[in-house]
This record gives sequence, structure tokens and C-alpha cells, in this order.
Amino acid sequence: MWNDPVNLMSYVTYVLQKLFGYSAEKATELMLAVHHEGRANVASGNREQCEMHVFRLHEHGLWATLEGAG
Amino acid sequence: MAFRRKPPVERLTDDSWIVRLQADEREVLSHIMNQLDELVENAQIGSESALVDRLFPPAFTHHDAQHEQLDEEYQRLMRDELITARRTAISEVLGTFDLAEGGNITMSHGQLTAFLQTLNALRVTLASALGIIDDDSAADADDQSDASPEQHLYIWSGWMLEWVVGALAETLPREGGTS
Repeated sequence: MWNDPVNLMSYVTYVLQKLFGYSAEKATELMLAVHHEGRANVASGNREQCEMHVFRLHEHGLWATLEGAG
Repeated sequence: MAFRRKPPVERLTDDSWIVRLQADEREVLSHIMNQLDELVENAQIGSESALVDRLFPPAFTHHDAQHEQLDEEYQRLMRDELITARRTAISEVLGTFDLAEGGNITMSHGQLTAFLQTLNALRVTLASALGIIDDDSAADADDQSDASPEQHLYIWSGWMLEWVVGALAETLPREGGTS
């Protein structure tokens, strides 16, 4: 997931908790990694699973992309 | 003593919340959400407005021709579904406005989630209209002095979004809870 200057930190944290079942602590850690480093890996899986993750993040107005692990 | 409004979002039961929006707020929001709906409806591949670019971002990073091809394939498969999801959420929110009693709108969890997604989509679109591209321009947009109507709406939507996030966050499973 990529950083953007618009989405609220609380919103991003909530969406990560809701979509991926992360604890508040883990979701906050990922949100801050995105904020400070420009991007972070927020989920993994096979291609089909990751396409669905990306779709749901896009549905929530967050910019996410897919990358192969190799 | 300062005048205090009731909180704009308040939980009633396990699956119902009151969202407090005055008639003028509902009128402005309805108008702008209908405009957003029109933009989203017309955001088919190749015809999108720069205003809604952020609502339909690439799914691959476009480092090379292969990624570009993968993104084209992704957009071909998913774009219509994303358009439908956004339009359904907008329609759901507008439907709740029609049933407002006074300044009170009762929403279920699903409707409040639709409100969350639509408010955020609205805010992201307003950010594009206001030219917010980095932290500096975002900070400028939060400055209320000499703010344009779009800027006021951007600031207001962020304020309301915080309340909706707070309300929905209470419904997340408790960590390490015993219940």
C-alpha cells in the first residue's frame, strides 16, 4: 500500500483492521510504515487473493498495488 | 458557556447509529454525492476524469510493459465492479437521507459503512479538485482562513469521517477479550 497525503491515519488504521483482522497495534504499525516510508507490504497471498485484497483497498479509497514475491 | 452540539454519530444499539446532519448539511451532501455518482458512473476505462483518478488507481506499478499489460487486464476485469460498488454505497447513503427525522438519520452497520466509504471517496475527490498532492498542500488545505466552499467541505468531511471511523472502530473484535 502506498502513502497519500489525503487519507486520515485513523481511517487507514481502521480499514487495515477491518479488512485483514489486524490488531490495532499491528494496523497502526503498518499505517505508520506507509506514512513514513512511502509504502509497506500490508498483505500477501496467491495472485487471486492479492487481487481481491487490492480491490477491497481500492474500494476504500486506498492506493494498493500487487507485486510478485520473486 | 460554549454551545455544544450532540455528537454527530452516536450508537443506539448493536446495529444502529444516529447520524446527526442538519437539513442544510444534508442538502449540500446530497448535491455533492449526486455529482460524485455521475463522475463515478462515467469512469469507465479510458474515459475517466482526473478528478476521480485516485478512486480508480492502478493495481500494478507500471515499471514495465508486462506490468502495464497486467494492469490493463486487472482494470478490464475489476473496473465495472468497483464502479458498481461505489455507486451502490452512494445510493445507500442517499436513501438514508430521505428517511431523516429532523436532523437524525438512523443507519445500520452496513449503511454507516457505506457512509464511511462515500465520505472518504468524496474527500479524496475534493483533494484532487483542490490540488492536494503532498503533505504541504494537504496542510494548506486544512487552513480555514480564506477557504473556498470546496475547501470547507474537504475539512468538514475529514471531521465527520473521524466520527464515523470512531463509531465503526468500536465494532471491531476486541483484542484478547473474554466475551
